[in-house]
Amino acid sequence: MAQRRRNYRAYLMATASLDELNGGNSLGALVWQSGRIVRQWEAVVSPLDGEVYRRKTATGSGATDPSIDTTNYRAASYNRVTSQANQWAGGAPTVTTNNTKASGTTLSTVPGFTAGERKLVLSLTGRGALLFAMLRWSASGAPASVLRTELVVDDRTIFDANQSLGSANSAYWCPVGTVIAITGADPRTALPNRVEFRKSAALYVTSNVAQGLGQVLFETMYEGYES
Amino acid sequence: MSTEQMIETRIGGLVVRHWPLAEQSPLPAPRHTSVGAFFDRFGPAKWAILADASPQVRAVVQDASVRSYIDLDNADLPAGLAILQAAGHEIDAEAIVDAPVAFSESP
Repeated sequence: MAQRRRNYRAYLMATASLDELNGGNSLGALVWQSGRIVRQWEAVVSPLDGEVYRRKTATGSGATDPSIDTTNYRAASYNRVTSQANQWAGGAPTVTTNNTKASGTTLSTVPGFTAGERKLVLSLTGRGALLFAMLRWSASGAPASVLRTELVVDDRTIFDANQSLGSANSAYWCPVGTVIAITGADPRTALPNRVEFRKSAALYVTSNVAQGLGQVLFETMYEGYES
Repeated sequence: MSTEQMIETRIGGLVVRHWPLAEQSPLPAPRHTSVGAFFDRFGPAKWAILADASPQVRAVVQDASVRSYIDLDNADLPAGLAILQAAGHEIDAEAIVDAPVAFSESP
């Protein structure tokens, strides 16, 4: 009887992946190794960040860690955002008025910078989520310009957009979250979104001409875990 | 200005680096008075206004009287005061609306 059970287990091991033996849940995921063959939809653990990923393309092997390989792997243990659109396409949302700000956010003032300088305006290092990020630049008589905003999450650029800034107006753009536009409510309320990161997130602004002061509103949170 | 001048804070195990926080002024407190204190702001004209039987002045007095408090920032208030002035009552509408609310005037 015991011999038969051992034979059956050997048969299973020969025909099924370890993940399948565990009922397809991620608890039995193998640690990913370069060159290891991974079946389609099999779960593996990234040795870089300890998160679980599933291979979404056909069975195969690769040399790129799943935490980086967005082509072949989908994150299973967290929501990996790979692209983010400008969540505010309208006019001035009035999230800052008379030095007050949308509730729940932190308002920082970014100093001016030179033409072509890629200005770091927010840096988050660790494991957490960026819930809201909005940038506001006021022309204040400066020449018309184009401001480029980049949001880099875990070394992936998930937002990269240009925003025109006229010579006499303000420009707002919102890579993460949005605001409630209620007439008469001033300042307006920030509505969070959620962009998770496992190593870092950084927000950059680049201008084709020298820029004056700008503002960045943000809201973030730490996600603790066992080390 | 280099990024070394960014401010570093921590939220649990998360390191946040940002530029200086913008100075914030506190949100203005609501400017509410009791109804009686509001009428007191009419000064010597108070009794004449309260005794005025003309329909428009009566409407203004009634409108104020039925409220539990008067919001001095209410957008309709200047129009109501203008009705009293048009009826011949000499009141300083600007002072009535803009004077700070004393503790004793609170509803």
